[in-house]
Amino acid sequence: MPTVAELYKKDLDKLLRPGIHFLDGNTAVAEGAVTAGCRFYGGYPITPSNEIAEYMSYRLPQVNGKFIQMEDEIGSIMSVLGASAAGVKSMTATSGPGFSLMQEEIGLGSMLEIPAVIVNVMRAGPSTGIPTLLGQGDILQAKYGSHGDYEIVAYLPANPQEAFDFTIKAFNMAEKYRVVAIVLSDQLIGHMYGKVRVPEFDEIEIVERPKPTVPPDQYLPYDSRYLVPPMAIAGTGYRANNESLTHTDKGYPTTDRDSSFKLVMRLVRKIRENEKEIAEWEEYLLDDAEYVIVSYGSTSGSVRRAIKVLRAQGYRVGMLRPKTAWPFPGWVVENLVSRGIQKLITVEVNMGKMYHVVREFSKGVPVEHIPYAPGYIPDPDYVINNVRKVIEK
Amino acid sequence: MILAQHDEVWSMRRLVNLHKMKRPIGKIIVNPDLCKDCRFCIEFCPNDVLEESKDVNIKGYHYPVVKPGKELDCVACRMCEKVCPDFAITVVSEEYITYDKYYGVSRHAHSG
Amino acid sequence: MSVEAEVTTTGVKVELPKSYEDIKDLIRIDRLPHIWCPGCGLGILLKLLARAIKNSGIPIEKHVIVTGIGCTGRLGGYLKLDAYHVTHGRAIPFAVGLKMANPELEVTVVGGDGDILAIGGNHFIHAARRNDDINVIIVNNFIYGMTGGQYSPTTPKGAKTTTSPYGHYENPFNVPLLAYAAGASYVARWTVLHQNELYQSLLDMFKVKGFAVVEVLSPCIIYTDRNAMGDAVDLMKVLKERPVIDHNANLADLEIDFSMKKVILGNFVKRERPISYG
Repeated sequence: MPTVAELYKKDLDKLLRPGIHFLDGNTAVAEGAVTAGCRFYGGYPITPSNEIAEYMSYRLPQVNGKFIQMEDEIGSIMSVLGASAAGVKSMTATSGPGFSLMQEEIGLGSMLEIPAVIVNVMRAGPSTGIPTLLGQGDILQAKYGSHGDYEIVAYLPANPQEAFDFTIKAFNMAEKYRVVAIVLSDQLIGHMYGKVRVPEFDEIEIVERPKPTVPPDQYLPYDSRYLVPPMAIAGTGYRANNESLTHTDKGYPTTDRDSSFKLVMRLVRKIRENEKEIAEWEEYLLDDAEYVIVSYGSTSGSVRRAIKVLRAQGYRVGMLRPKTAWPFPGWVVENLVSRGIQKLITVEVNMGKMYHVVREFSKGVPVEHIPYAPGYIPDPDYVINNVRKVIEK
Repeated sequence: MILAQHDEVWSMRRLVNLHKMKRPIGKIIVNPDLCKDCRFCIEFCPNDVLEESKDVNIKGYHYPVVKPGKELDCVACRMCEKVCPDFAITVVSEEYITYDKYYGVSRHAHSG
Repeated sequence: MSVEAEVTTTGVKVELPKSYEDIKDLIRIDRLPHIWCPGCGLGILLKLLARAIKNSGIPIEKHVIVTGIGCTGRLGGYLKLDAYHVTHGRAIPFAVGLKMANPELEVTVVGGDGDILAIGGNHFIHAARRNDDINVIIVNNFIYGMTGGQYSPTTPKGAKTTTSPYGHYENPFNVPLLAYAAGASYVARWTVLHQNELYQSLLDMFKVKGFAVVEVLSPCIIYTDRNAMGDAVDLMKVLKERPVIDHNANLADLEIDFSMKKVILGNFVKRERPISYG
């Protein structure tokens, strides 16, 4: 597997040097992108993601990249897809309202199979909500926001270190599977300073998109013999027809039933058959837990503290923290259920998003949701009291 | 180009060397299955050479055919080929025709 | 005399005539006959664009076509080039991204009047403002053709469409004036009948360094049908008789109304403006 040391030899002195840094989450996302090879950013200002755009506008010219502030979010994501089609790794960052606008184009990126990374620094909603405070309400929208069937990969960082690492992983997954990868950060992580350790450059693995191995006259842009077809870069002579209409292997539009079924199956199988490799999660004190709390992002810090107190009070509680929202590690929940647990509890700053996903795998074990006001994470006392209420119900 | 009637031509002036005056002549080739009967070629032919056929192609469209009696009238201007949106009609012009053959008269002609 | 004889995806045996020999490697012959209606001007534009690309002096591999949704959006699928058929109205920012990532590409956006000026209007004026080095061909048929005949930003006042059955109330855009005011470097308007001038305009468009807009007036049988104008061929006759060519026309006079009594064509604007991102 190639590493940063091999692929970006010429830029190594311009990348963030290996070692310990003190960065805020938004800067960590931007530096992670640059380290992963992102050389194009097309964005639109929206709080709380502005720092990513501002930092990229300053950083990208230093590594011979390009930055543009487009006229709206739709223009941003389209310019990202266009730059990626021309062979350059690209990214945009936005928040709730902008993410809603981008949904059609997430579907387009999935249909054209162009790798792209979108960072959604979630904020309190719905609608304009509270731009300056966090939210966690976009979990289901990341996967189901656009129309039709498609699959994406979404990461849930919980601190600036993970913001850096998961952005690199998002680029790798986008390139490897030719999908749109989403980093679901939130305002608290984006504006929180923390320790970020950058590994040595020969330890950071980079994945690049599969390249065509045949000459142009034998090349099929959506070759269904591969799960992830090799991608021809625009302008290299492959003359591929990339269609957003349902298409055949050759890229021609079709209304044929078998072609339509085959295409959609392949688009979702790309991720569904590789779930176990892509999904990541953290298990905290789950070995003997009777009650499992599922939480992620900024909330997980509060929950961790709450679990310590609850354990001291005698309750056998543990936490499952998904690091990838999608694909969701449902088999972990199923294993816990079959091992024998009493209740699953989701603690999220929303009115029930990952709650529904956990319910899908709970197989009869009761699942309770503890909501909280969008904008603020619950303090540990709130979590403790409500979890005790759920346990004693 | 408007083709005058024979009588008008002969009554106007005395023409000589009709066997040396020549113009291109085109052979019209139609791919009937590509035609969609839009009638652009029929409409924009300056010599009004084409008309709709009586029979239809496999899609049910009438396609252009040369009007009977006008086989020599195409001057290979290629207007039909240029306005056709469907690649259905083309003109091949490898020959020239001299005016005496076109009008069917002898090498010299004069009134009276 | 044929150069290709094969059975296409539509089941028709197609032979491309010899006069198209120079563009036979640019047309996807296996997809002919194309899906456009009898009398649609897009078939003519396809031939002219293919020839202009061939003779543009830029290697064919560097040409990229980006199209939106609608009848015009299908044009890229018939050209044997790197073509991207993206979502409605969003072809221009996609083209901007392509050009910024690889400035050696020659990117051409082909879209209809509804695609580029209605839903894509914002992207159009901002790309013109930035003078991004892309080419935009707006195929203006005064209506939304693919979806059955709804009105568009260029539908003249008084026209009947499926969403204006009592006659259209709105004022249309004056497309060359809009393009010029937003900042385009090259603005031209021709019809599919004025083939030599349109071909020359397309060649000039490829040479322009900056935002180049060519508006192509095209007959659409949906428009003529809803307005009792006869057939496409009748609209073509109007497009032959009425238009006046005036390269120095005042841009404010370029509006086209329902009677089509005053239609002015020409290469209106050619100017030097700084490019934002070279």
